[in-house]
Amino acid sequence: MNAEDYLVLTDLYKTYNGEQIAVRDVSLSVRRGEFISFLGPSGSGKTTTLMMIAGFEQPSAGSIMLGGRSLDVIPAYRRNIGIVFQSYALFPHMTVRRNVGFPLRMRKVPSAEIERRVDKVLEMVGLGSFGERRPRELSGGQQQRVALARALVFEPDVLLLDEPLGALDKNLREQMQVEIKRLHRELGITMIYVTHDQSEAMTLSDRLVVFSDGRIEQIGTPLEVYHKPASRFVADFVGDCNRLPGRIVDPVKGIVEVGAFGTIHLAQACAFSVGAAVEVVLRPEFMRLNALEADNSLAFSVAIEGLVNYGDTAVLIGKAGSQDIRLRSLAYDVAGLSEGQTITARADAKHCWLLPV
Amino acid sequence: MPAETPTMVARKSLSERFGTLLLVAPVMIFIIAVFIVPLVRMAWLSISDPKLSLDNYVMLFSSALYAKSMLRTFLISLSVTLICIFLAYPLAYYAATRGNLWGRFLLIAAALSFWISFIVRTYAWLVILGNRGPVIDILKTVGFEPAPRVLFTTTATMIGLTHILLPYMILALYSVMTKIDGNLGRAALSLGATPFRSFIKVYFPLTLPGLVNGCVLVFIFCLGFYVTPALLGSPRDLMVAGLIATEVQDLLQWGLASAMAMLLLAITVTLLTIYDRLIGLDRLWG
Repeated sequence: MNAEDYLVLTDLYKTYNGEQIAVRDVSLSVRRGEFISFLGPSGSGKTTTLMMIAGFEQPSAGSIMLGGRSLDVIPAYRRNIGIVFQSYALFPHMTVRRNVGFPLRMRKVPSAEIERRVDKVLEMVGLGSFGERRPRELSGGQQQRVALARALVFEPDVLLLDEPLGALDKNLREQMQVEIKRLHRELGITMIYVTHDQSEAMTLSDRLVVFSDGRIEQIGTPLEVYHKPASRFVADFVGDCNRLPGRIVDPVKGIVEVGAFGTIHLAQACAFSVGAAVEVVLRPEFMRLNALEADNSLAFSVAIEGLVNYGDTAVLIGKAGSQDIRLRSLAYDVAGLSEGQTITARADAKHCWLLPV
Repeated sequence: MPAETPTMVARKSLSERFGTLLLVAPVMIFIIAVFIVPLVRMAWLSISDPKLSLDNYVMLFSSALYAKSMLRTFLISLSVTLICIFLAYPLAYYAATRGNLWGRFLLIAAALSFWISFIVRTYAWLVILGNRGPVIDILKTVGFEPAPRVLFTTTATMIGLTHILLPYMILALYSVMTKIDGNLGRAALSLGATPFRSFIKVYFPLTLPGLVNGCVLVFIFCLGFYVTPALLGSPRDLMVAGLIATEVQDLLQWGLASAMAMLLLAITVTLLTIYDRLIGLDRLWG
């Protein structure tokens, strides 16, 4: 075992009653101390995979290794894996202290040491003075901190978080994201974070694992996934995108003709044959208004059909010929524009990404 | 303006209170006529028949017959309550944690018996446990000859009472169990608790309110149950309600019977008061 292969999932497969397939062909290798997010819509298999790592679900096939040993026959209660649920799952009949001390009592830790470690971890999540309260006397954010403290106090090998911030409002969520990131940095613990919120996954993770329909669509750093989506699904699910029909002119030189919008010259060769139809993915925020004409770029004459102004940024929706176009820019740049006008937008070749049709 | 507000509020609430009073008046009249008046009359009987004194109560506390009947009633009630716990807990647990067809079927089957009169069900046991019934047949085939008597024994009483009161226990437990977050058990496992310890430390304590509810309902029902013990039970080992009936019907001891009924009522009210202090009477119905 090396540090690269701390938690290894190999060909995980999960089916209920042999018909519905919840998860298939899931293979993944997690580094020690890495922050991984499982991103995908509900029912995509991300939570099922998490539950198999935790030991609540048995894989129908495949295996899970942690720190060089197989988890396949180890029950959940001996895996030493912490988990934080969206519903917090705090024990309502116990005080905060009793909740946080629970895993230590289960491990028969001497009570003086339990007190010491509970104090320390409560301090760490900023709840030092809340020990004697009951969970229902705390706010949602505080309850989630208790859940984190309880899952961290026994120093688990891996911490699993199942949509932990899903029940919190936006401001609190951002605050807790910072908190979780801080805990990850300070403790150096391996974390797997399940979410369907792509911005949350982007900001927190070292790597993203994008799930769809029970399988992994792509594994990569947030920027890789964002700029080089492996499939149409990933391109659509992680951020907005424009998809333009294109045709390969020269795969070796990376020359692609993008309909009437121009021909671009990519930096490297692409794995398509001459004349192959492709889809050119272009993120809305990489289309520029008021840009000067430049080499190796696409130009769009967009008839504005709608403007959505968020105050800081704005999304412009329109048509270039028959092609739907979405463009995101600073609100400053769209000031004075209105529906019915036609504007020129440009996009640089280096921001284009090809997908097979 | 601020000075006026309190009187306006007061006037409004007065008319509201009057409206509410009007709404509850029919049911209050009904309760007074059929419940409070007879109760007061019975309390009066217990100290005035045959003459104005506390003789009836002295008799109750000094005679072994009544003390034994009281003790028996307690023991039977306690046993039925315990049997109900052991039968109902697994069933309610199964129905609450597996939301599948079987669980729902069991629950509906239990709830359904609410709508079948307990008198009908008691008569059914009369047939089932009787001399020509299937229970005796089975006992005979497995070699009990002559077969022991089952009907008209305390065992038959307990079988009948358990059958009638089991649904209360099941529903009391079920209503609490369905509100328990399924992730609590998983959280306990992930924190290192074995399934057994997870049950003992987390699940079971959270079902206690339902368990106490069920016990209070079943126990108190048992204390004053008349029909089932009278039909299925032994005429020699009477429960309190049966004894009261005997005093009235056979011995015409109205005063003594009233005193016994008052005592039973006092015990029931005491139990409910303790329950109210501990948990709250409003929780009794889920």
